[in-house]
Amino acid sequence: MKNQIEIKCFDHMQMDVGNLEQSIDFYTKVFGFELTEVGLRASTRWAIIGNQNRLFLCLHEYPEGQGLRNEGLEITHFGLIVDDFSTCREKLESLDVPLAYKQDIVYHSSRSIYIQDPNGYKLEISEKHGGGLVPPSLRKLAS
Amino acid sequence: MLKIKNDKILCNDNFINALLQLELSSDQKSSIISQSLVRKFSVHNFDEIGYSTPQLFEHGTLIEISLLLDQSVQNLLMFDYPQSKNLQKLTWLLSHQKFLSPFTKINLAYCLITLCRYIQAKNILKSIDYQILPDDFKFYYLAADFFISNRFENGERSEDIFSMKQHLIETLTIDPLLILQSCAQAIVWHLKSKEISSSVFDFFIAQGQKIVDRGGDYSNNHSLSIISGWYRALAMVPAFNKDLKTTREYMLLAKTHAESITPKNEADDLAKRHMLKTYYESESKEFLYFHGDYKLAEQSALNMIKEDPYWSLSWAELGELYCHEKLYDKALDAFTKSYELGAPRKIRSYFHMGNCQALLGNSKEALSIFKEILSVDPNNVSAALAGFKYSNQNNNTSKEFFASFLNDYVKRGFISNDKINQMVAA
Repeated sequence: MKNQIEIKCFDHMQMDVGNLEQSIDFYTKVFGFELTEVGLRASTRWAIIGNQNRLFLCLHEYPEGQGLRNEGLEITHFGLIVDDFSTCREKLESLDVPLAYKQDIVYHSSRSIYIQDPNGYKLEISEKHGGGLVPPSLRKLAS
Repeated sequence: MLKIKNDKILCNDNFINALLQLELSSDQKSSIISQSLVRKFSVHNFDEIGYSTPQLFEHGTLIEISLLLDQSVQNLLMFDYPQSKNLQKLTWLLSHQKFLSPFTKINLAYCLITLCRYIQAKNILKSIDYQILPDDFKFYYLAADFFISNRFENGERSEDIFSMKQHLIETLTIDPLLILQSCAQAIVWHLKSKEISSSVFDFFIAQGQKIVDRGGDYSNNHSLSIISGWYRALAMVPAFNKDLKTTREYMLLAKTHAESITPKNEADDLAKRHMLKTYYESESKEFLYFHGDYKLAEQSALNMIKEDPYWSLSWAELGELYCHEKLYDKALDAFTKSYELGAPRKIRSYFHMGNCQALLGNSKEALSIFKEILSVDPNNVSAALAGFKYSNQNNNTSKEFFASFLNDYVKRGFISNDKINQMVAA
């Protein structure tokens, strides 16, 4: 369609975090993100961390928000594709990352591991893009 | 008591709290500047141009605070003391300089300047690649650099900085209000200290007049504040030439613009009160020194205090006005109020209290004050001189006490014996 915008990939995600240092430490230690930029906005500390594949997380510190219950609609988790799914569980366990389930979750075309970050956000580490799903427009091309 | 006892993060002086901690104690009253310092830090987006403060203070302010708190200046300069939450955020930015954008660095430099940390501000500016900055940020960078030169380096680089600003104005498009602020500074620092040359001064005064004459949508509060400041600076030009009529015209324009500010929030209210306060401060001097009208000068000084009743310097100005008129009992009351309100220049207000006591014939009280000043600030030449002079006049046994300080100053080269004799005889 003429006015459609084609998205190439996700650029960044902005998230409230309870403790900036703790969150930077988590994403650095577990996923190899690097601290890229920091700042202050109306007394709110923020940091941008990025990885070698140019995915960025923008962390805004909101200590008062810790433990508060969200009501209504929310983003329930975000998914990550990793280079070697088979070694993930062992690595996560060695880093003492809390795992949501004892076993991998097996879907019809892919597997996933669910973890929580220090803020309670749920992350899904997936074996295949889109859980192995292919959008209809790409299926035609594939065939 | 001159020294401030404090074992907590916040003390009983909110100017000191603002400068050292970027927070205020709710138990203490606050001046416009104290509120502005804390407020600006709390609400500013460090990515955006515009960190500012109504007034800046010299490095000596931090030295005075170190004496009052009995803390080392070096510790205060480096924030090496227990920190409030706001201050922890500031020092966090400082410790992460390599991760700051150039825009955040400029705002951080400004913030440090407002807190009298000129060395750190200068180092941060030096780490920025000036050439890659957008036009307005270049101008803003130079404005910060000027404050460092002006308040910390005796104006050594002010001429070069203003020449660079001139070049930007001539070759690029800069926000007229940013230019107008610089035009006001050029007038003040050319007339006060000649750190801006006549040719640069001529350029900036012409630019300022061009911007104001050209007009534009300058009806918002921010614009009115800047234009008020412009006219108050411009009034210095005819005043310098003893043209009282034109001085008054420009001063009235300064006042009208300040009065036109319509506060929509706390920041606007503080800005309006500050512009009116500084207007009345200038007006008081205008009436006293140019018109010789003490009563009008006194009314202006009282209006100045009404806008900012918890600002110690305003009460000290009133005290100096009364001293000029030899009304030493009134002067003593005003300086006492200034002293009780605290920093900045608390020691100087205390010294003036001592002087007033001496001039009122209360030598015992006067000498006690000078002694206490020397116990806090052993290098206070004024207190030692005054103490020696008045104890000598009254044949008081404290004469030797003060003489020992003066002898030490002579040995260290602070002052000569001839100068001492001159001042004691005066």
